[in-house]
Amino acid sequence: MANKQAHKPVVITAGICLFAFLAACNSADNPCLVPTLSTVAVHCSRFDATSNTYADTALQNANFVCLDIDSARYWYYGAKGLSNFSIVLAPLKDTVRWTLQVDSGYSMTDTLFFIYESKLTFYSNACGYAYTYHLKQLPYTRHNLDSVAIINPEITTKANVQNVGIFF
Amino acid sequence: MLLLLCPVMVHAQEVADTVTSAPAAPAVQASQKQLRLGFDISRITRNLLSDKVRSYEVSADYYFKKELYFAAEAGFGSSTVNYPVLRYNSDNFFVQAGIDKALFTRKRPNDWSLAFVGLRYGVAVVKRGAADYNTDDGLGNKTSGTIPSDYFSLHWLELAGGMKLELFRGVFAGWTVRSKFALNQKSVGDLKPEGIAGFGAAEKNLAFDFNFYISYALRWSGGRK
Repeated sequence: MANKQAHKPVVITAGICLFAFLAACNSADNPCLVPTLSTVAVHCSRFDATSNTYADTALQNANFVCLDIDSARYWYYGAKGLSNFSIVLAPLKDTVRWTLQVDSGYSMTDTLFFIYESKLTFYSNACGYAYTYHLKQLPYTRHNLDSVAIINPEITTKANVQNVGIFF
Repeated sequence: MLLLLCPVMVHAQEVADTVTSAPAAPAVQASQKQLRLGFDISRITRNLLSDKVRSYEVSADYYFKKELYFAAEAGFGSSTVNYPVLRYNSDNFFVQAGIDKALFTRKRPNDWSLAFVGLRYGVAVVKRGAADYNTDDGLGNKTSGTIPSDYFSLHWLELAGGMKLELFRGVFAGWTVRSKFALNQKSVGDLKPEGIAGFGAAEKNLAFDFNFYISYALRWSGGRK
């Protein structure tokens, strides 16, 4: 550091440039960019006697109605051509009933009782907390259904996870 | 950032090359002791630019021998998280200590300007206040609650580099860039303050920081000439 005068502009300029760069990086509030609503992924299948397996089944005119969450009551009312449904639970309840009428034209209605535990889950400072669920039991009526199975009991915001299978 | 260092290093290397072409001179023996005390003026500007994070930082270094300095920094700060769904404050203080090694050997005993690299160990103690949260799933299910306040400590290792240039007798200006590696980031928990003095955002294991110090050197005689 012998040539002090020659270094002065360099150190000052470099310092100002670095500081300006870092000041520009001072971010504003981050928006919440991830989903925080946990939904139950329900998949419908029908037994195919020819292949002796269950095959994906799109319901032609289904009513999937929630009896316990008013705002979600008619989410899937008259749903056409769906085999996958994303249904919601209520964080302050431990049981929510959904009724499924496979074809609103003629089939009987079955009721599914989702019995679960709620868990407060942290996402980020911007997104805060939201609820995830652990599905404990899933009793159901069998007017039109063959069976219902819990495939993955952890109800989170993860995509491509199947939680419940409904078999006709 | 390294690009910004290049002109300085190249120039300094040229100076060094010029000197080494002459007959080799013995390394300068310290005839003075020096304790340099600094204040990070960049924090003031950053505090003005941000309404979420506040921090203040001071530094000290003491010349040991063979272009080695004992160095330490300390400071305190606070940060605020204020989103519609989550609100909490945190206060913190930190200390870190280590060594700086000058990149070039001094040729004159009164030349205390230097370019350096350094290593530090740092620890911050953070008090997070109670966090108020709201949840709303958009379906009429709204809840709210409070997460109790908490204390935690964060430890890190740091690599530093920079320059200190003596502008006037005993008065230095210089910058330092730092990369910090948290050793126990999991101890922070879910609610991560957006700024911890001495470390930065606790969101990730790795943090970068920058300081611009104005320093004053206290010198006194001592040691052999």
